[in-house]
Amino acid sequence: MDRKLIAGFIGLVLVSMGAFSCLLAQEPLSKRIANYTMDVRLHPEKKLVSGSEVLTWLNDSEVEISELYFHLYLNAFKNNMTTFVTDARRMRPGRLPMLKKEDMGYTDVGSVKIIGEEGVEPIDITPTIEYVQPDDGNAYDQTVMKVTLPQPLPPQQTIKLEISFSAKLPQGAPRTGFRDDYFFVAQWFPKIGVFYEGKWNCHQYHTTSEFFADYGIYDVNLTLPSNFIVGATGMRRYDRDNGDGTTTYNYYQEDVHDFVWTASPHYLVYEDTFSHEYLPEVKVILLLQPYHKMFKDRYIEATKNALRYYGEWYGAYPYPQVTCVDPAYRSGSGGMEYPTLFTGGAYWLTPIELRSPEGVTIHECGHGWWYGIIGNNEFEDAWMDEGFTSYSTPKVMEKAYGPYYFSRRFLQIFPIVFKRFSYKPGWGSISDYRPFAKLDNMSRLAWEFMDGTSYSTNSYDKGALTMWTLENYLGSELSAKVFKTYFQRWKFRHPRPQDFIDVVEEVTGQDMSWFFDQIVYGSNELDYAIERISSSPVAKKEGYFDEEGERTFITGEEEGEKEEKEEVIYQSNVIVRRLGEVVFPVEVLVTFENGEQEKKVWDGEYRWVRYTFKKPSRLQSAEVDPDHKIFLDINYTNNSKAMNPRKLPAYKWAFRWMFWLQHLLETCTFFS
Amino acid sequence: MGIFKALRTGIKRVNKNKKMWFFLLAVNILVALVLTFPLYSALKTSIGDSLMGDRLTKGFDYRWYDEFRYKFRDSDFITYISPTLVGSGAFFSNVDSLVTGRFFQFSPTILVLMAVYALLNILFAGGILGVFRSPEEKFTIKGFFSFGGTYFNRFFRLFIISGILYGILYFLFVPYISGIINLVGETAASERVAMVLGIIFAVVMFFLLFLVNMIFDYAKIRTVVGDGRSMIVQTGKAIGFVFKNFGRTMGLYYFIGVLGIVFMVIYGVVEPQISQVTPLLVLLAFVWQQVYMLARIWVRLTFFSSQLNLFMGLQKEKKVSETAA
Repeated sequence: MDRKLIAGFIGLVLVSMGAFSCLLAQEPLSKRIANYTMDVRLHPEKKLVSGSEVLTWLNDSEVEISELYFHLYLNAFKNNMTTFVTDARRMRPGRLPMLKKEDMGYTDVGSVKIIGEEGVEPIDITPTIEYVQPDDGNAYDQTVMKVTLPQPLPPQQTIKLEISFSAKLPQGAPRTGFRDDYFFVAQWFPKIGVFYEGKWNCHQYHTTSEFFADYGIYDVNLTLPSNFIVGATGMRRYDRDNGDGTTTYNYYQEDVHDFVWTASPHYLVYEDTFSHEYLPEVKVILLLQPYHKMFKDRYIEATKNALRYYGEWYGAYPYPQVTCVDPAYRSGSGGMEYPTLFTGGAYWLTPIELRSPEGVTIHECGHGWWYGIIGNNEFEDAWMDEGFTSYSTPKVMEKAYGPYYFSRRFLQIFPIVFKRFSYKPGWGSISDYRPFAKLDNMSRLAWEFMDGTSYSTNSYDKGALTMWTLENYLGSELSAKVFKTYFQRWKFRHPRPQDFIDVVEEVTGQDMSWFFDQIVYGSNELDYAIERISSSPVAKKEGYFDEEGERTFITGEEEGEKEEKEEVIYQSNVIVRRLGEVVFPVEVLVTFENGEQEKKVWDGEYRWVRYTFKKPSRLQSAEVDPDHKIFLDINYTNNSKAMNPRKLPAYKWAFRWMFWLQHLLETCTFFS
Repeated sequence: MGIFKALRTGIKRVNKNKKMWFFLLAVNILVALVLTFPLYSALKTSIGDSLMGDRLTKGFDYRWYDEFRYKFRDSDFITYISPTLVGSGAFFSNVDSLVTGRFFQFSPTILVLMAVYALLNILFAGGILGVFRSPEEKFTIKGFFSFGGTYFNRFFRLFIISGILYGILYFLFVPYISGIINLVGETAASERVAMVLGIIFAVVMFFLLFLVNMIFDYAKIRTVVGDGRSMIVQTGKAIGFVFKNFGRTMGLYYFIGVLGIVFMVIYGVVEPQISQVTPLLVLLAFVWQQVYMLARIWVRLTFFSSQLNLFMGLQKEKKVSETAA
């Protein structure tokens, strides 16, 4: 053998060993409970993925476990009687997936075997497979599978299972599936549930629920026709031409709780790098539909903005790469988040003022933090990721792009932006929340909300409004510390609402139960209003007065003459009311005509409070929550009153509307 | 008779009848006020004594807008208020409704008002054409209504006939084409296909609507000029006239249409410059709105007047050539 070759080989071994020892020395980011090694193949013509996975699972509990639970999410699309579809019928009648025979999706598990030490025959536990329905007992639902172990698995012991399976991908289903030769392969493999709080947490797939899983390492080989362009969770370590028209791609990622991949022959691939003063560098990959080429820079810019602001505010993005996928038209996979990969959504003829795809990109990329890194239970505490992300997204949007504008699409095609009418990105949530304020509380299980709108309103909108209100109540500095501490403490773990509350209380040093009990666990409205204001000169003395032992009769005229020489004092009254049931401390700003201002703080406990002032100036106005800190207040217009209110806006808007009506009437003459 | 000669003399005649413009504008304002008053009252109630009045004077406040719409969510047309209807937004909104027939989904109150206004304008169309056709070509209220009354019955019948055609367009053609676009959109590779089809549909719809409108303009003109009695015959002859003189009738129609768009652009550019932060500026914006409405009415009158010229000129040419032959 050539000397150079030997030297090279030795060098390579040494470098590998060095790298390996470095890796060993590095503390894993997560506990790595569920680790998968997969080898799968895409059969594009059959819309099928087949292969096997080796799951190495750690019993991190303190009890012996004799049953393992798995999600088989794709079985939600197996027939029209699954829990997902029956839920959809009930919760979102207008959004029922229309599945034809060839569009159905399912996961078939071929075998489940326990792999022992080398040389030991695997134990086949396939016959113990059982479909269970822990949420609703729906016998048609096969989205949760249970297997029984021949012997219980002791605490802190690991089990290795080899599972062969095939996944038929659906079409027209939400979040996953195919459209022509576009594949978005999500929720596709048998995925073990989470054993925590002393039991299995492995819910059926519901139309309003998302996911929950343990962190681990994913090492996945994807084999598919060589003309496909592939993107997936994690880093591509290598690809291998198999010589039969297929290529195998290996993707590897540590400390994630899901694995998703996508393939299409049509993707345009762009790469960029996010760099920052102190945050680690991140490779940004964009997989773009060819007809959305014009959105390339906007997608990348938005992703970088998310990486920047989330990184600065909460903590650095811990992975070396993020992949942004522009989904195929009508694929149903747009606007979804997965570890290190997310999907956006763009629409032709959309200028930047319409904030699309920026909004969805920042939202879904932001889920990398609130879902990806903070692995809350989306089945049970959906607001903890959707609410946090819906709170963070407008903050990034405002920083990076400024306000939102009103717009319309002329002939449903051409965008027209009304730049005169702008608003803060965070204000939009109240519109959706207001009608549902009293319907549900946000701490319910995802499928237990009255309907789909109540689920999304409580999880997204109320969640966001709650965080905005908390931020404003605590002040930006303290709230920044709260969110950062929460993120740092709970990253790569599964926090519950109480864990967040504990962090809030620890950082602020305050008992915040009054806030969370009412907002998170309650469903009352928050509404404060100025009920009445008045201001008039202090009443003149009139009548009999016993002063200095003598009774004197004072007439109004005498008093008036005296007052003319003195400064007139006005008595001003302000009544503030609590119209909703939520009790919240509020500030009341009182302004006088001479420019003097006085700020009162009311605990908001009783139904109303009266403030009386005696000042040498008349009252001008009073306003409760003048800085609009309480985003949950369902009526902001009633928060203030002025002694001399402006009538002009009513005329202004009436005239504006009248013009539209005049124009409409004139348009009618077309027919006469 | 060329289209520019028809247009020139048409404009001259319209300009001679300024009182007619103002009369039509007054009617338009009065009818619009019927619903503007309740809307104003709702706005007043909503803003009340709140400091929101100050904020809305200086600019726009989304929170108020959102609360206003929620508060009056069950109040019929009140919630139609939107920043997207302001200024040129009114034009885009109404043209959109015209092409797609979306105004059939408006609140019943607005639909009734639209129907009343359409009926009034059947009467006015007779008045306008009658005045333009009269030897003095001068507007008087008495003469205007007298002509209007004379032709109302016949124009109403034309309205019914044209209504059938518009009905076919809105209730058969639009849903059919929309269905096709949706179907194609479902299987298309990108949203662009559906959007391009949508643009083609809009162009075709514009063309058909304008064609029907123009045919019935000429049917009215024929009725006034020839004192025709059978509206079916007048419609048939108008169709014949339009297609026989397709270039000139279309040219004239679209030229005047472009004038209308120019006026809209001028209005749309100027309107946002009026900040409306003081009563005087609000008044100025209102006056500017009315100036635009006057221009729009002028365009409508110019349609009638110029098309009347074109019709009469071509009829004359026809007679001359027949005599010569």
